Amino acid sequence: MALMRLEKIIKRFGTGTNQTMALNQIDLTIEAGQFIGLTGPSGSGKTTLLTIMGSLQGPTSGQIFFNDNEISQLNEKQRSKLRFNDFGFILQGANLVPFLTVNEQFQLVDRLRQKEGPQTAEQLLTTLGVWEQRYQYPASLSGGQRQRVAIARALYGQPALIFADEPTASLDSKRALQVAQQLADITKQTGQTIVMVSHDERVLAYTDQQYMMRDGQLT
Amino acid sequence: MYLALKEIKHAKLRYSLIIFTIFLIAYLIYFLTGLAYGLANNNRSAIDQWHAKEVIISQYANKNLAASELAVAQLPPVSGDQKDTAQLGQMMGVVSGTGLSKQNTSIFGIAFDTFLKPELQTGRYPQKANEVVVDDGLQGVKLKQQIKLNGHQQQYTIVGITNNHRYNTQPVTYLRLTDFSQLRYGTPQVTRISAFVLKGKAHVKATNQLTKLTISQMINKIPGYGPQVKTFALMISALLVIVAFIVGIFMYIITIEKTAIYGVMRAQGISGMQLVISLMWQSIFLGVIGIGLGLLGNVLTTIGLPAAVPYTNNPELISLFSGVLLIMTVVGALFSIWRILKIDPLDAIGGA
Ligand SMILES: Nc1ncnc2c1ncn2[C@@H]1O[C@H](COP(=O)(O)OP(=O)(O)O)[C@@H](O)[C@H]1O
Ligand SMILES: [Mg+2]
Repeated sequence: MALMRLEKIIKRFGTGTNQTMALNQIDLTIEAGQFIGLTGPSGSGKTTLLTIMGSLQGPTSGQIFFNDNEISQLNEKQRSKLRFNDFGFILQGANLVPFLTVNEQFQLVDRLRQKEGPQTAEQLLTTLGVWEQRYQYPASLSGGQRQRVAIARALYGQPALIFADEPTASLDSKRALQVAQQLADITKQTGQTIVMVSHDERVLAYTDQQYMMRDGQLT
Repeated sequence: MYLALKEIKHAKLRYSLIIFTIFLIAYLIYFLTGLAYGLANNNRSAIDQWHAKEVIISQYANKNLAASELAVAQLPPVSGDQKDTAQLGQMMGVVSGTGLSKQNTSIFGIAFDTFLKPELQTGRYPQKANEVVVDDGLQGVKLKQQIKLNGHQQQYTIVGITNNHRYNTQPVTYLRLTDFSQLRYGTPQVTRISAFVLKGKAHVKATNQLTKLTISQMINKIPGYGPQVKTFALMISALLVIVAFIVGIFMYIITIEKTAIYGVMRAQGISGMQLVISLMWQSIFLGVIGIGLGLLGNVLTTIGLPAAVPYTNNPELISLFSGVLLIMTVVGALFSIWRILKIDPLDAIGGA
């Protein structure tokens, strides 16, 4: 059974002459435990694909199955729940709540979900090398530290699927490769699945499988 | 509540500003209320303590006690308990005496065995002619002192003193009805009075010579009283509405500023409702602190104000306005709800 399956996903923005076909008939199957890389030129639809898979927006047409359940027609409340319980996001820019310390970002999740996560915040932050920074606010962290906290936050609660949109773009190349290595390790160790957008060949080298996007189509 | 408080803690300055604004408005409301209530009280405190129900005054007085004169012979028959009725003579006057400055007073002629008798702070009720009870609002009065009324030669002896018994803002001087008659009409024979006061089960039929007013109607007809109460009520209501707008605008600006943060949280699967609840908690928290500081300010003001300022706190009014203030604070924050619910988690990604 595939973890996620996309069938004939189309996404259009705008109307009439302003219309953009951001995604054009995407078919994609993602197996559990994979580290998947997504690359392609700017404007080719990578972010759009990631956000549709992550249930941040719906497709214009087509179907998305997550664990064999159709999720493209869910309402915003159901999507919110799905994102909270099953998905993790590592985004390019600000990922953290600015008025919470590193520690509190995790406490917030604890408060909102009833059960304990399988990995403690301490384990995750230690693995990613930012446990020392736990009492700091995001604004006082370096870009790399912030990104690693964001990764820890995305992994917390062990979501089945993690979406990362250019997670290493703001890091220097040494850090970028370190983060790529950590993401690769996670899929091996916990069986979590990661879909990562990146332009960086050396980062993509850590992935198990790569897709290329061009003009809204997978090649 | 967790999110709400964490955020306030992180942005102390901006939330302190909101609290400070709520405090200022709350304080102003309490201050106006204290003044309004104090002034209103000064118009009516002597009347309130009768716990009466109605007064009969002359038809020609145009509902104004001060202008009423009615013949005792004219009084209609009373059904019910005679003890629940009393005759009242009322006129404005001036008190003078050795060691006393001339002061305005409201003169009440009453029988001291009726329910119109005032509660005494010290002394006793008059037992013979030309003994009086005065309110301590008259500066310098003391027991056994001789005073004159309205420039007449007659000396009156103060035998009792009341506290906070005023009518139409003037401290009241109480005389026996016969002395009142003597003062006003030159004869101790009580043939004319100002009003016939009824309480409890006493009942009379109004005639075309007489007007029956409830006590609150009568108080509202005290010259200046109604407009004054309305003016204060209007100011206070306006402030209550203004607080909703101020909090609303503040919270709205903060909400707009936080759109990206909310986007991140929405992307992480935190529901819009949780963000709304956080906003509500914030407004309640800010409101409670601001109102609390306003109350504290009010207490300090009450202690610090000179006694001459007619400032009286009414716990019921203060509780009422505090409650309404808190509600208005929350109502203000409600403006931002649709804005929060509209926030798209995609905002966190920042488009392309
Ligand atoms: N919210 C949107 N509204 C309108 N057009 C959009 C929106 N999001 C993306 N697009 C358009 O869709 C296309 C794909 O964008 P995107 O998925 O961000 O590409 P990539 O991430 O590969 O750079 C671009 O032409 C972009 O302008
Ligand atoms: Mg992109």
